Amino acid sequence: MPVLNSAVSVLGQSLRETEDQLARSMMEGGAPPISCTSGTNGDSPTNLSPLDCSKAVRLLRTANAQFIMDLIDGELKFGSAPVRTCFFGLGHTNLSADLDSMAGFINVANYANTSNLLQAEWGTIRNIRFLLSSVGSVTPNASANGQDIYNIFLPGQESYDMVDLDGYSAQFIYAPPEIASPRLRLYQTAGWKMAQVFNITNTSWIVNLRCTLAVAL
Amino acid sequence: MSTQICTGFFTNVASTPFFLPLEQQINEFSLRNLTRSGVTAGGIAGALTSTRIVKAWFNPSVMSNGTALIEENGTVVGTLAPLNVGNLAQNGFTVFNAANQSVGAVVAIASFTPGTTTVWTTSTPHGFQIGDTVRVYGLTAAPQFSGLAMTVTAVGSTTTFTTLLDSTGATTSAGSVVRIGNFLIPTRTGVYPENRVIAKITNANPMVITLLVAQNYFPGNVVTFSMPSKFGMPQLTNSLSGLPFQATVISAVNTVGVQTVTVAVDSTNFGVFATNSVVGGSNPGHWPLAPAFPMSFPTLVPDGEGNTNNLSAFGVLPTPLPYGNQDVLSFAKQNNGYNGILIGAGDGTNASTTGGIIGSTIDVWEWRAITSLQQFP
Repeated sequence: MPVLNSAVSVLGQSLRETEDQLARSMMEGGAPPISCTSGTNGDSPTNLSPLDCSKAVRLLRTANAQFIMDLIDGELKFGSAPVRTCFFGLGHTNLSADLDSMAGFINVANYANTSNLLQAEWGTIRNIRFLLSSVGSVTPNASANGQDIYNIFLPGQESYDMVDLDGYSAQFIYAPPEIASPRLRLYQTAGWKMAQVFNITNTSWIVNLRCTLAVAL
Repeated sequence: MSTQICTGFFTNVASTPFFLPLEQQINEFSLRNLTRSGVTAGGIAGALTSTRIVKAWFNPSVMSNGTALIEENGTVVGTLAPLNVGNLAQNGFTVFNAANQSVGAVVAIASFTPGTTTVWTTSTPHGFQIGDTVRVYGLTAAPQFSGLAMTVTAVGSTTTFTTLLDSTGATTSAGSVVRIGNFLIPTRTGVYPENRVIAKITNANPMVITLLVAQNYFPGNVVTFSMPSKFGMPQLTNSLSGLPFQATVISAVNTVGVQTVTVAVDSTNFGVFATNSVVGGSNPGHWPLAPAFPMSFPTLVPDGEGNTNNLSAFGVLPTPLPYGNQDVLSFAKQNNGYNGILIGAGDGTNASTTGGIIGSTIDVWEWRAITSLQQFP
């Protein structure tokens, strides 16, 4: 049974990462793209800069996209800072060094209030809180200089949704030896299945902010 | 251990690769050209033909993508032809995994010839086929084109190919190009429809949009635009209210080399494409010039599906009658991320540079895919 418990944990991660990948690909195919142009690495798109973040937020707010996260008030804590109302920026973990080196970037450790943080959250700048994942979107060798382009998706509220068939949302299925190998009862199986699709509901409320890296891998 | 064999038939389009979607793992794949072997099948008369590939075999475990072990007819004598065996080095089989798409080898661009379409010249044989999707980059003297993905619309020689990029007025440049796909196979996002970079837009009624990569839009689709200021046409965005400019597709020509989408919009008095205020960067009606670099690309963004009831002014009758496309599924997307095998096209022979499995004739093929299945008792 400990083996099964461990398998359940890993399968759960597998399921959620697969969902992430499906949502990522859907956004990559249909979120309106804008390229960073204010960075300093000489590529096109450039590396991410605070001004590019502001431009993306401006685009979303002008379209009346609603923020995802409420502000975090400032508190009397050394080294902490308030956090603006924010959109989430969904990106790849390779962006972490670029974010760290950006003037004005606030790491999650410096939030005035660190309760209710998501594990993937890296920090914030200019009304964007960045969630980084190893399955974040990368378009290989697509920049003007042939470097990888990192797609950062900024969804506003209700900008995309998930549709699942009746009875076919994520299911964990365990088959004991009596079912999985009835003749000799040698093994049992565990797995998951789902029938889900992600979908952009309003193209004005989501942006794909494209950038390259300033800090080489 | 057991084996599953799947078989079927298809008829190719002349000189065009063929994509066969297959769900299963492919351990072996083989083809027979029935038509060129003299067999009448699928409504096409058999014609035993000299110097044509009639059998091809592929094992992805031991062979490189793009190749094939082939058997080619020798000179026909009466009703028989001898067979010659050889290795086809290009335009063979490519097993396609939607979740792990391969990128081709980098090929150096020596120059390009600016014009309403662009002819690219490579330093070494490029190996591209019509319909391939390629990406150019590192164009130091023409950086405004760097990063663009485009469909190959013509192959002039082993070292030249054409795309629909309107580079009129640009300075030629060296650079690099890489093959990233083909219009027949699903793109890496695995969804349909998806964003497409715009090559040009007319000022006309109705408005016609040409796309750099062959598209898959259809009448009734609704689209919006991501139109950077350096590409003019501010009417296609709304920077004050942020409300989307939506348009319904009334016709689309998905053919490689045409790649147009016509939308129910009168753009006669709109701004002119690629008009901007950058000194030396404006190039009305074509692609912006180098001083406009860096920039975002103009993009046609899919925005769902509409009905066709209000398009009579554009000569579009509601279909299906009498109520048109009422059963719309707004913002719909389809996942088309399937696997399969791409069968290359060339001259239908084992020639060293122009060879390929599918030739210039329309033939009927029998295919066979073998899956070695590992299973427990």
